Amino acid sequence: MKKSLIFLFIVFFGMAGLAQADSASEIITKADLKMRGQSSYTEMTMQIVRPSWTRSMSMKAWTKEQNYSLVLVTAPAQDKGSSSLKRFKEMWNWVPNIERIIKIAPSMLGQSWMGSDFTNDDLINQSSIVVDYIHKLIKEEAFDKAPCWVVEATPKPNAPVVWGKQVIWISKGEYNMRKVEYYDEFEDLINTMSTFDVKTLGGRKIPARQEMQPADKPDQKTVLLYHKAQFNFDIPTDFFSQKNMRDLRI
Amino acid sequence: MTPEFTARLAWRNIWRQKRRTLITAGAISAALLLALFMRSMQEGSYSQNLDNATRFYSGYLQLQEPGFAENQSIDRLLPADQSFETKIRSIKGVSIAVPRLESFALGAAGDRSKGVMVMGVAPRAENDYSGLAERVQKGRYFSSEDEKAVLVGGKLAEYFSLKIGNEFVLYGQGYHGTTAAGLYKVAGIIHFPNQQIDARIVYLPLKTAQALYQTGNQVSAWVLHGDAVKEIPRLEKSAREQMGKSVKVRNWADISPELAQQIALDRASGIFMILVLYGVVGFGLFATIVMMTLERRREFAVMLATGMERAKLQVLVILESLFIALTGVIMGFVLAFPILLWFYYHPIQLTGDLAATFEEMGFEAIMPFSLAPELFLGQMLIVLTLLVICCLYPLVRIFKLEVAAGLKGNL
Repeated sequence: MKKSLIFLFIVFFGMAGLAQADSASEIITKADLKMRGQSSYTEMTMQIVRPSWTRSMSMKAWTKEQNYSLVLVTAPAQDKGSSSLKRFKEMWNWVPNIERIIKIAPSMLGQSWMGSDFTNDDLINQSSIVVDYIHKLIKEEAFDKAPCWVVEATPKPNAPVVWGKQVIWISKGEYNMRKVEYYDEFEDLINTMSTFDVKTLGGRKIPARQEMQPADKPDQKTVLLYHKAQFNFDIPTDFFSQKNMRDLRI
Repeated sequence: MTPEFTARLAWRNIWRQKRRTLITAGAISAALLLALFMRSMQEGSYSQNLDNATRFYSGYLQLQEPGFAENQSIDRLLPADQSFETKIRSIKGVSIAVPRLESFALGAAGDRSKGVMVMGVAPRAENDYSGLAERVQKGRYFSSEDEKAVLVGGKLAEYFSLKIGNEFVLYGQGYHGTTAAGLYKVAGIIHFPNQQIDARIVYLPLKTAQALYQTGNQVSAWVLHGDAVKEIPRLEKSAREQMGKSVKVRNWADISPELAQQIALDRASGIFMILVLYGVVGFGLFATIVMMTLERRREFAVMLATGMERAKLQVLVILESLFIALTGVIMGFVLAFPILLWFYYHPIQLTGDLAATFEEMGFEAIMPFSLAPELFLGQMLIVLTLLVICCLYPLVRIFKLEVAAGLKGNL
């Protein structure tokens, strides 16, 4: 009798644990889908803020499923036409003024993208948060007045990721990622991303402003402003090709 | 009793036991010879290797923008114009000043890429300073000041399977957030004994690097060299005075701490060995002095009884010990100096594995010697310190000597 009680106890709490793990993953998956859909198109401006200078870049980005993305820089003039392409785990940059495609080594994924506070990985490899990490709901907390779930994501063994841990605030109901803390393998906070200005873009309520703040440099940050968005349209897979990344003139 | 007389008496006294004096002095001179040989070799190779090793990277000193050291940001630069250069060249004690632009980039060739260390150098001035052209193993050195060509480290070339004339792309972040992208021809492959550098380094002509990073006429560092390693502290001081607060002066030990630690460790182990050696010699000296005192108790008692002051007797014994030690020191110097002088002009050439190890560390495979006077003075100081410690015993002994008992010989 006693034994079976313990057994029940274990089963009950084990199930509860499982159910919780499941829902944390669900939350992450939904949030990821919210920002990209089956396919997405966004127009945005990136502002790089440094103590002695600031710089602004405009770009367009396309994604399809979790495996394809393409970012095209449209301004300023000297960087116009530069693009970054991701297919599955591989990434390339097209540099128009030397007319060469550069393959980004996996070891470079943690490096800055175009001099910003976003890493190559942050910008182009977002979906990996769903596939490469184990998710755990740790608490509930409000961010920017929105009630949020807080999910801790730790990489699966041998996952090709750059972060040691991510802590993600996802707003209830809207499933928007409102805040992400990026930690290295020593559990030190490296970057914090916060999102603001939730408004309707492409038929979805999403945050139109993202700020990436390095933990050790309080006087610098990178701001990403979304102007236009479109979701779930048909886009052929061969749009995400090296040839297209060279030829894009939109 | 005049001081000269005391001295003459002491000198005669020590030769009453010729063999003992010679053996003691011989032990001191042998220890001195060994210690001098070792320290001279150590200090000689430090200054030689420092002079050599610092040429490639740190220099004796570097002038940098104060924020550069923190994260080597390409935004933290110093001017490279004529007036700034004139100001640098007027720093007292500067013999050479070369500009460099150091940064990072993604190197790419074919479908491979890797983070590399980019070093923009003024081709002619750099070669005069560090002999960079001699490091070129295949291909050639830069042929002009603004050539669109790179020299890549051997291991790096291997990684990218680069051959002379191949294309090499550098891609990264330029000045104030601009995009730095350049396409270059591989002019030559250079070899660095330090594997880490060999696997990461890419050299560009300074003007080409400035164009790549869009820095205008600016550099990340002015590398300064002086006449001798020992002048570095003075050079550092005058550089600080001349350049003021807006420029940071960093010495080689600050820039290459691993080199400084290596030298400190080596020096400490050498000094430890020498102290052990002198410990042994010190006991020899002590034994002689003890014997000199004990076997002459009766003699001392007679002298005291006939009216000699204790203090004078003590001075006599000190002088005797001093003469023995000085004889040893002079014998040591006379033996050591010609040997060191020979090696100073004919440094030991290392071969085989040891030579390879040296080259690995970025040093020349020779063992040069130093003839710095501090070395000789230092050894002399150690011997004299030993002597002072050893002399405490006879001083106390003489002070306590009871004349009556001493005369009778029953002590």
